[in-house]
Amino acid sequence: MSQHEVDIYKRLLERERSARKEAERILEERSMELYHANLELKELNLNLEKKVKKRTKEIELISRFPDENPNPVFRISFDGFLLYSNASSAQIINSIANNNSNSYLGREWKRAARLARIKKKEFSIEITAENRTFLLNICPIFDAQYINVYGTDITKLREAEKIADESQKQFEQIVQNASDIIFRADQEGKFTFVNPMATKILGYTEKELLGKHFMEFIHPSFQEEVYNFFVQQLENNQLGSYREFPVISKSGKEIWLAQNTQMLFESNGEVHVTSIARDITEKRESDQAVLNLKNLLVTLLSNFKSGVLLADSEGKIETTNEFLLNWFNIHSLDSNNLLSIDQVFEQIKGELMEPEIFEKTVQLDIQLHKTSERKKFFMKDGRVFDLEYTPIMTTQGEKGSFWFFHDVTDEHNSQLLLQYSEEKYRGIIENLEMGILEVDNNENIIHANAIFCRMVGYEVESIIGKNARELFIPSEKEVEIFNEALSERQKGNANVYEALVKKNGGEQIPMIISGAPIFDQNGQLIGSIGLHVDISSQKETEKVLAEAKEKAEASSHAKEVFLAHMSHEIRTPMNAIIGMSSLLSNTELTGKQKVYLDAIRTSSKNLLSIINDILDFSKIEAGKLNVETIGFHVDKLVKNAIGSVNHLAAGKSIMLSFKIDPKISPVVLGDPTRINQILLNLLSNAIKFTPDGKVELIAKVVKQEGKSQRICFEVKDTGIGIDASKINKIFESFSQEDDSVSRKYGGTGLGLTISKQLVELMNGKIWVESQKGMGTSFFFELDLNMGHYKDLPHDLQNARQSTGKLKGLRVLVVEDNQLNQFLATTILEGKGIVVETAGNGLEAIESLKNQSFDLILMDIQMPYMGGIEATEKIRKEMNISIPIIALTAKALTGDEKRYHEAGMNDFLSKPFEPEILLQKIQNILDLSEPIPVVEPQIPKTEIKVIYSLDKIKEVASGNDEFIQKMISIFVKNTPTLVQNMHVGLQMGDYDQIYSMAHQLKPSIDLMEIQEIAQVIRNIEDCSRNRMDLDTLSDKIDQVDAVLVEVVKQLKTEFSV
Amino acid sequence: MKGIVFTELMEMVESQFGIEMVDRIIQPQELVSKGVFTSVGTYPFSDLVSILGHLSQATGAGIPELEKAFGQYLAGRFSKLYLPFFQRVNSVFELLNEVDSYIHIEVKKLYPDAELPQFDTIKMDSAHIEMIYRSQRKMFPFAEGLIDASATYYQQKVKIKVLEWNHDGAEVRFLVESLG
Repeated sequence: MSQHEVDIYKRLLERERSARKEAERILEERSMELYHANLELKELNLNLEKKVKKRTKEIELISRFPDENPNPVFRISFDGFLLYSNASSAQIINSIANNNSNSYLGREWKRAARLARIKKKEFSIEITAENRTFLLNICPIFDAQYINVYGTDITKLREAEKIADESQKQFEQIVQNASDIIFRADQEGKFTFVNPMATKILGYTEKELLGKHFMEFIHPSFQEEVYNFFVQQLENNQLGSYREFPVISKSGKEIWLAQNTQMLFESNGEVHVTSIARDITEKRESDQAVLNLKNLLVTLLSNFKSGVLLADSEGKIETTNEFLLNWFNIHSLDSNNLLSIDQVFEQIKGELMEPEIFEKTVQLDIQLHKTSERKKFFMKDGRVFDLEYTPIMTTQGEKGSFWFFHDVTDEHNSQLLLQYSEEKYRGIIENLEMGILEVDNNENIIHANAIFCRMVGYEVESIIGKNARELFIPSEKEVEIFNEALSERQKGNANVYEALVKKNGGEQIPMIISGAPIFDQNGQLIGSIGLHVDISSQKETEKVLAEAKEKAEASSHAKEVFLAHMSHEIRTPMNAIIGMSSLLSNTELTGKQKVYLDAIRTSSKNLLSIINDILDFSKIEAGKLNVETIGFHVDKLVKNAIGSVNHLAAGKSIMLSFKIDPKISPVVLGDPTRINQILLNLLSNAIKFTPDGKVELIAKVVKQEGKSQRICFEVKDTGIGIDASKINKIFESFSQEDDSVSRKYGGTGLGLTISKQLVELMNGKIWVESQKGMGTSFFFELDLNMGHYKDLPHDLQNARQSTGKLKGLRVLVVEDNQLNQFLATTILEGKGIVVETAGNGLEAIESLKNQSFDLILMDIQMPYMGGIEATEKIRKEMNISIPIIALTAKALTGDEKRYHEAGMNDFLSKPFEPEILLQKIQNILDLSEPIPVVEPQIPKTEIKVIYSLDKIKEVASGNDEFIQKMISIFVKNTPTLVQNMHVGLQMGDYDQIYSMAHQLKPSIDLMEIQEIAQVIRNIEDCSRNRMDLDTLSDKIDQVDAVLVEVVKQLKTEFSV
Repeated sequence: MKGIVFTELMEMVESQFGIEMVDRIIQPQELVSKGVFTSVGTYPFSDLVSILGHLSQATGAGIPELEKAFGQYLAGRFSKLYLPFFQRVNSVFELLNEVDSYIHIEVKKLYPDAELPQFDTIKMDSAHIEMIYRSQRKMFPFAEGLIDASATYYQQKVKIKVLEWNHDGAEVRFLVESLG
């Protein structure tokens, strides 16, 4: 080998060696690296293992998850192999694992698995296994070729669903069958659901309602407020609301609804409205009625005149009234701010005299809660009230208390006064020396006071219990009196009577006994009490007075008899003279004879006038003159009076005139006869004392008061006048101006006196004004009531009847006086009447036995048998009912009654005018049957018993005087009342008519005037109701006619 | 560059040209490694360039020629040294496909500092593969030789066609066709 080669190999070796060393070095390096890497790796490994362990644990836990899942979770490969199943899936898996396609579940599974593959996505199926239902969520995982199944046990869910379903159905039923409206609406307010009741109440069909806005159905007046209400609910997110408002049904009916509205606010802003509405129309009405009742109650309470306090069981005041508040001056109480009962009682107590008792009382009331007795309480200011308690149920149905506070101040005070006056009177009575005796119903003595005992001379102990009748009634005579007293007591009446009472020892004492019945609180008679006054001394006086009275009466009677006789004795011949001269005047006379006859007539008339004056004067003195009240015409009266004195004035150059005030009522009520008398007196005086000039009679109304006119009659002359000094005496009896006057002018001087007496009898005024030498005016004023033409005497009402019918009549004239007999006969025969005469009653009866007559003229005063007796016999024994006219010279009170009672039809006083006689005969014979009347009446077929005095007699208890008084009042007032009723009718014054009818009614009832009892009531009603005047007029006329009849009958019966 | 490249090159030169050639081509004064190579070491590319330069001078063959020949030689060596890599696939195309995605990754695991070219497959079918070679060493001919010799392991014959030659050989798009 060459050096060259050796070098090469040397270099190569060097390089190799270096390379090897390098490689070793690198190896070493690498080993180190490896070693470290290994370490690292180990550590990493350790960590990793730890992590893995941890992880595994976690995974284990997690893997337990499905195992612990109560729901089935399992995994099946696409080809049907069970890869995993948790415990809960046992039930299901058993059937579907391993492609067991024979079971139901297996089939189901197969189908599902197929579906999964087809669908290539998740889906769910429902499976029921052993009464449990599962929802299987099937999730195919295509990558891994298996299906994960997640099951949920929905058994309970399905059950709950079923229950919910049923619940739902039930609710639906409720909604459908509800008796209230149930509806739903959307947030715009349009109906989305309405139940049947909604359609029923509103009257619209479901179709008609759905989609409509609820506002459409609300009553127009309420739409705005209801709309705002719901809008507010909406805006305030208010869940529930309640409101009442009216809606209008399809038929237009207004129906009130109470509506609950629920609003459900969804998160998306939608609002669902559900409402229930109830028909409260009726409730509202009844509520209104209750409210009205409550208001009525409140009004009643506030006006109630007792205090009312109602408290509940807790002491709170439920109700009270103004009376209570005012009574106790409680001001802080008003309906909204109620005090408690304790506060009120405190205020009340403050005003009482004995507050503690009040406190106790009310506390006890509350405690016992039972009705208690009324208790009286006295207040410091003198007022008194009764407290009444009643337990009640309050409006809440609890125990409440009701107190009444009654104002009994007046009663209490009255009681005190009564007590005081009782004591006073007891004292007075004791001091009056009145014996008081108290007996029971059997007249046994209960009590007698000291004075009575002293009067009768017994010790009180010895008479208690004894029979009063046995002790005190002296004799059989007195028994009647005591029996009557007893019967009055038994009737419950008190009365005063006189009786003799037997003292201890037998002495009889005259006493006035005032007896009264005693009643218990039930009104039962338990006895009587008598006040006894010893009138022994009074009796003495009485006896003396009685004797004096007898004497006086005797003398008065004597006077009357004398007057009567005088009247008769004088008038009879006067009658003859006047009658004869009258007849004579109708015959053919020579001039001289006429003159003489005139003188006779004048003289006899004068004489008659004087006689009448004297008789009148005497009558008036004796108090026997009565003044009539009948209707008459003032103008006629005046004219007649002027006519009567015309002849007196004719001889002198005196102008006679008269003036009648047109304001004077056409008919007035008064005594025309007497007024005429006065006028004649004054006129004749005026003419007498007036040589020449004029005499004027003036009648005028000076005052009008209601139905009464004050009429002033003036007789004015231009005569000689009366001396001033003598004027005062002018009316005195028997005086003329002086004796010279009587001598010159004649006259008895009685005229003016009588006129004065007559005027005063008629409650008028008479006076004179005169100037000597100039003239005189005599005035008299009378208050006369305005009358009706029906007040006029009928013979003036009717026209003078013709006397043609008299011809052929047969009349029996019974008269003892030859002259009068002659007179009567002549008058009658002058008219063609056939006359028979009889000298006395006996003869008359004899005549009547054999002959028949149409009429009898019967004198009264006759020998053997007078007119009264004869008439009685004729009527009662002979049963002859032909009319009998009495001819009487007397005209005393009571005569008319006796004539009627005897059976006479009419009477005529002598001297009579022939005309009057004839007219009476006419009138009487116009009647088909003889009727006992005072004066001719409007023809009636029969007289009914139009009144009865039974009631009056009952009231009067046999007191005739009382009856008389009653009757006279009735007679006096009735015509006036009737007249006023007419006036009211004339003037259309309903109130007047009513007032009069009303005043008449009690009398009509009392007098039992059946015919008009109802009519007067009709008049009352008709006038009160302003009915038709014609109807009223008829009724008033009817009442008038009947009452006129009654009054006239009464006048006859009682001579009033 | 990994030492194995140098050691194999030395072996190849020694076996083909003898030790003298080896000695001649190694000029220690030009080499960082001073010519000392172990397969497990790592030496700069400039050393390879020097050696190849001298080799080219000495043999008169061009460097690409030399690179290619070396590639072919190395492929054979690889198929022995790293047989599993070859056994993994059934064809050279598959192998090529795996160069970047598997082989080089495994290499880098063991020798993180290895400088390796990038092979991106553009398209591939049973008879063709089109790839792009990228490397800063610009040794495409070397790659060519590797590829060519690798085919032989799979009893395949291939033809390599350069489609694009960019950046002075730093990026080459080429197509490998299977010939049978």
